[in-house]
Amino acid sequence: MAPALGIMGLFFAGPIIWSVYIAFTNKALTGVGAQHPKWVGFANFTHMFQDPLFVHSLVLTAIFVIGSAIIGQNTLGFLIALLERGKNSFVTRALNTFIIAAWVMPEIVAGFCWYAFLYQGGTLDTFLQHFGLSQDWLYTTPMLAIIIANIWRGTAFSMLVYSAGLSDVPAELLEAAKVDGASQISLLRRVIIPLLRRSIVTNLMLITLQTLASFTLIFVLTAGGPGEASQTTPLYIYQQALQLYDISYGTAMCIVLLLIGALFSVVYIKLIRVEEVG
Amino acid sequence: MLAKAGVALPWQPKTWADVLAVAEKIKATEPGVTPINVYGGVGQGEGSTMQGFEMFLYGTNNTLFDYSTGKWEKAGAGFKAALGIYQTIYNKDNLGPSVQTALGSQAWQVVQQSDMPVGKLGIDLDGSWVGGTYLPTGPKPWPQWQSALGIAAMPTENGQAPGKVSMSGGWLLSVGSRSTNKQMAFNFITIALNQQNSLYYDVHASQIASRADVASAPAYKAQGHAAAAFSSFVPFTHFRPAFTAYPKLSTEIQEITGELMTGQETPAQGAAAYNKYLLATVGAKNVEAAPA
Repeated sequence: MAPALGIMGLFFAGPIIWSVYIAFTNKALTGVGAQHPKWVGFANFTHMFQDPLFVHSLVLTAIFVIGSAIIGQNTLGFLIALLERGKNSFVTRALNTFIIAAWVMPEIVAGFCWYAFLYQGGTLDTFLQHFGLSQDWLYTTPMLAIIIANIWRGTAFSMLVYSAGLSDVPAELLEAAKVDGASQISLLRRVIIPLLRRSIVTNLMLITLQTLASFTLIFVLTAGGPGEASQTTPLYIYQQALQLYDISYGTAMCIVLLLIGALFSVVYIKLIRVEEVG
Repeated sequence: MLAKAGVALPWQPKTWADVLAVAEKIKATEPGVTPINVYGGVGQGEGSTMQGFEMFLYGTNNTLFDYSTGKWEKAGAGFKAALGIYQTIYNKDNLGPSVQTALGSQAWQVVQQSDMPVGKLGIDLDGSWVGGTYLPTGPKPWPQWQSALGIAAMPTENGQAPGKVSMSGGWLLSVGSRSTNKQMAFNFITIALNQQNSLYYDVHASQIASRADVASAPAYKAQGHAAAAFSSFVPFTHFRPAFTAYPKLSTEIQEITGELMTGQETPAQGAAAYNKYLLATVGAKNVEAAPA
């Protein structure tokens, strides 16, 4: 037991404690801060909220999470699961294969596929040239590009969560509601969704955390550009911590991002009130 | 490209105005050709700062860092003039690649691999390594590049001494301050960098000779006119201030050049933004006003 705990402590708790600690220092990867890091208290955190680029990155991250995860992946995954419920045709199986293929594909490959599709001279551009709409979509609509790419990539996960959830909805309950004259809409609103609360909370929490930390896809597609037009917080952290060597500022921003993730989770649990149903 | 536009060859501009005048000529006489490429924006990273902005800034009376006082220079007239070039090329006179292309992460591939070898680019403000792209083993083999591409040194703003400007980076061998056998380390470096070894290394690794006796060696000259031309730039080349703050300031410069290119800022606003960032990054006591 003891060696296992030791290893866990060293490789799991160790880095976490270290990064929390250096967030309160001026540790850098080069220069004076690298040799003699000093305790600076909350300086990194106060600097953060006076840093227009950080605030800008938070706004973009919020747009990215809400647009691609909460609205995009979540809704689309739910709709697909709902439409496929109880069906096992060739079409649904073929469709699922494609959706899941997008999800299991390594992020870097997915990113490159979308890059090839959207860049100037890429598939979409070549097609739209016939209509005089030639442009670099990664330049003109960078946020939309990364949101759509992330929806494409992540919808499978929500779909699988909701498929599993829907298969637990008792068929006799739906039958009974239908006999009582419930319309399709009220069936969805009053029976299916309330029974799916747990799945909804789980799904929202997981995809929010996943999307908050999303890096590779955006890095491959736009690298945060043009300028800072799609520089979400993880990309800004990368720039500050690993390109400009300001590791303490980077870890401080990581902690803030972690707290935002926790905040989202609390909001979901409060909003959807899982316990009442449980 | 230049001959078609009616420019006498070999071409060696003496001022920035000479460069822009030829770009204008190319624009007027050769439709479909991008007159000039200057890197800018965040997408090209340090290339925007070093191969783009600093090639102009160091040809003015200003620099980034004053070694005599050990202080960073605020953005002055030279800084604004260098930013003004971006405004002229990308925003006012449309002499450069499209802003979309120039700000994308693929800008250098477009310039070096797609446009230049097929005669779609007039002037490229770029580095000595570009030739490596056109070697038989490079990403875009172009056997005629040595004869098709002329090389001119970048002039200073108004032709002020020394008349030309270049930026260099590289490496060196040093004796560590805590070395226990400094003499042996020094002897090693003496041998490693002697004429014979430098020549061998420079030729085989396509490096620019920094020793005059290497640059004049037949084996070095046999590489073609490009290597000789680049070696002749060594006496007036500059290097970047290698301090902790530099990468941050460089990123800020990339952002500002990008904003000039899209027209979001004027040179004066860009210089003000830089000064604000400079003060916040290095502190007021490490900053001095730029000489006029």
